[in-house]
Amino acid sequence: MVSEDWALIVASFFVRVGFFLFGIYQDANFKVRYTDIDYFVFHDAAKYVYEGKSPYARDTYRYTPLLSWLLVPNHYFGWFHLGKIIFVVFDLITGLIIMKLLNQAISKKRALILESIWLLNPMVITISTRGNAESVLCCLIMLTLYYLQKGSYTIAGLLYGLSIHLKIYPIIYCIPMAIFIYYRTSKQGSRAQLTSLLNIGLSTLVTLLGCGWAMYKMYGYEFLDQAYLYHLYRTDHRHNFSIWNMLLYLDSANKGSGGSNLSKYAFVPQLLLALITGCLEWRNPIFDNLLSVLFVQTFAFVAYNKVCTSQYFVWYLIFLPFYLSRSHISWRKSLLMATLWVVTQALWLSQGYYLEFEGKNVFYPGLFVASALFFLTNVWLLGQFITDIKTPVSSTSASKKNN
Amino acid sequence: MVTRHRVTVLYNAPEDIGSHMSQNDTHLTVRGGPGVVLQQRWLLERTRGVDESFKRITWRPRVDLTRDLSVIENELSAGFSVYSNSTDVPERFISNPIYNSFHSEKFDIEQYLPPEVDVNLVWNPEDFTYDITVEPSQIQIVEYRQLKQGEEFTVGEAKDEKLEVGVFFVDASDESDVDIGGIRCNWDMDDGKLETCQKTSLLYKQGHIAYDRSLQRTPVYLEQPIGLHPKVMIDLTNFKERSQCMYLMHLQLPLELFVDKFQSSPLLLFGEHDLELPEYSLRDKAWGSESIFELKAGTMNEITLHSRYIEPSNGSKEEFKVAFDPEIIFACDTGDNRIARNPFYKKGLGYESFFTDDTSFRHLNSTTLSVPIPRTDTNDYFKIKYATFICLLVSIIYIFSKVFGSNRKKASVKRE
Repeated sequence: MVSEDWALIVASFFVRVGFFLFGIYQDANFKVRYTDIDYFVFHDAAKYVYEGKSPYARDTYRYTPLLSWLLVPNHYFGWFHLGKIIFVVFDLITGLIIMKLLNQAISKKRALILESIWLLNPMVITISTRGNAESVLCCLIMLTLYYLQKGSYTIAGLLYGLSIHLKIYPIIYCIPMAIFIYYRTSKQGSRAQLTSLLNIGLSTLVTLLGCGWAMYKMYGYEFLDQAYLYHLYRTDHRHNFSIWNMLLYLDSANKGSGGSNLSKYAFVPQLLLALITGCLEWRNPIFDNLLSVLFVQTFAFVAYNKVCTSQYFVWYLIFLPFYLSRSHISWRKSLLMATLWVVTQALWLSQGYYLEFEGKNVFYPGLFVASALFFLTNVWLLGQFITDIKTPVSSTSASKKNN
Repeated sequence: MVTRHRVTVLYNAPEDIGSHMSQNDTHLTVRGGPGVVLQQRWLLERTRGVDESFKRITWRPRVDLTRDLSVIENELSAGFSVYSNSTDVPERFISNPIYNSFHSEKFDIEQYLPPEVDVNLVWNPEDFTYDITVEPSQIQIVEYRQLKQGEEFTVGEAKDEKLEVGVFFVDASDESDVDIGGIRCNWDMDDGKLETCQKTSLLYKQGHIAYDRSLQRTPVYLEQPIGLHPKVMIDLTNFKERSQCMYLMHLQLPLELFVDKFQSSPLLLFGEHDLELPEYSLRDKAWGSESIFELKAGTMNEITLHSRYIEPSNGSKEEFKVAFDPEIIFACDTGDNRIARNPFYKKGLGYESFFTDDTSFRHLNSTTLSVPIPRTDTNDYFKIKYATFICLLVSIIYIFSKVFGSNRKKASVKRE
């Protein structure tokens, strides 16, 4: 790494330290807490683990027990905020891997700007310093891709299995990853293709099933129910960005009396679009394209998800630097896209604020229209991203890049 | 079976007794005035059965919270409450290690009173307060009412009833001791005639010291604006800590509101405290929750509640509001177990059963708080459904066209 890279990492570290310290100050002095509500859940669950009990003794703990184990030091050392430092470390490691994976052909200045999208992004920094655990998953996904690029399929598979164990959604990446491996090893013959795919597939299953089995042995059916099954049967009636939200609320209240079945099939368009966007890797099965495809696929998955909150945006934000490094979208259009995304989100947030903090009845049309506008904006952005990654690279620019 | 019927009337001053009471051979009449309270108590003997459980049913109309209670009254929680220590937990009851409880704003006495109770009582939930205890060997029904200026109450002995009437005034009272004096009359069971009236004096200790508006006020209010996480503010800045005492808040929250035990750390929390489910998914399971919080003297206390999502309205434009009555209590160990019972009330099931027999409860407020909860309207259902469907359909067609369609132009931006 060159000195600029180190400077960026050091700056990222100190910015995070600043946010972290401000968070402690805000918690102590302001009415609105800085610490994420989920961090209290992790912290409480870790306390149960520390006392030799199940983390599921904590209401609303709906994650793998591994996350609660990670925060056991909070109770061992008696410092509430310690876990946030762990999350910040994962967040910084993710930034380092982004640096490593970012296309080497782009200029140093551009690379630094793109790396900053993760490393100096206030949204990313806030999420980890508030104590949200998304950085752990992001780090595991990035490590998976790092080893995938290096051709270490066993390690990549083990990390990928662990990622899926942590949260189910990275399972959608299996299609573009498989396409990438299939084409990368095509020159070595079909046997090598099959071996590589079996290698990563089996090693994925080792950690996925291994961790699942171990957690099941320790915590029983409650682990399966709370960490996985709950996400299938949850109501998701409380307001969030999702286009499905209002329908889910109304349908959950209208059970058996005129409700529709539409919201029950929320997963159908989501999985369908995750599948077809994942297959975009087929058009250009190289590693750099894989990262862009993962960005588009995750963006589609989040846009169509039946529940959507700000923390979900981090799921695709980790791939944004890679996508932008290959993007052909003009800066004017980029600005328009970013503005629309921010404005429609802000519109929803204003309605959410009126509802949540002022108790105003803004469900319809306010909140619903804001959700629909945000959704349609996301869909338009998704369409632009798809067009963009399908855009053929001219021979001139390709040759320049290879040089 | 003989019913023991006792009537107690409490006046403010001794001269009120003479001027407000008249009698003939069989009946005694008392007339009302400002602050006059009348208590009726019926004691019914029961044939002991297999059920050895205790039950307590209380009712206090919300309008009664604005009244200063007298020294013969127990400051009951507003609304309708049923407490039972039976091992059978009826539907919608919530359990704690001492009792099962049910709480509602609806006076539903018929459903919970044993069938053998037949005292020709005319229930008046709008104006009267009730405290009913069902024990294996007896049932005690206590009714409190105000006897207002211009009102009269005449009592005479009924069949199979042993009647006693006491007409009292408050001689002296302080924080714990009460001295009341007056006369007590008995009826002859055989001919129903008023037998004797004699001067009586009663000295007892109060378990519950009623809220006195003329003394220190304890503002309890909701922080404005009220959102989905209403904050109950309890101003104890003018209060001081005292040894052997605690400032407490007792809450009986309807299902629409709940306490997050991980956020607010209540001393006790029982009942429905699920942090996510809407009210309409829980309504068959429990009536709500009961909790006790410890408060700090000399400061502003803040307890955050949360409202659940509620059933959409059906075209109604009326704002949905849910009310609850936080009770701020100053509980002290007195070292004297006699306060657990006095001639007018005794300690029973309810939050007081969590405390030792020598605990006195000074009530520091009587407030009703109202939380508006926004809800959507089912009349908007089809608009929302079809708009969602159209958004999804258009979006899927658009994305498919992008994925499977051909790009019109090549990249116009030069790559590095």
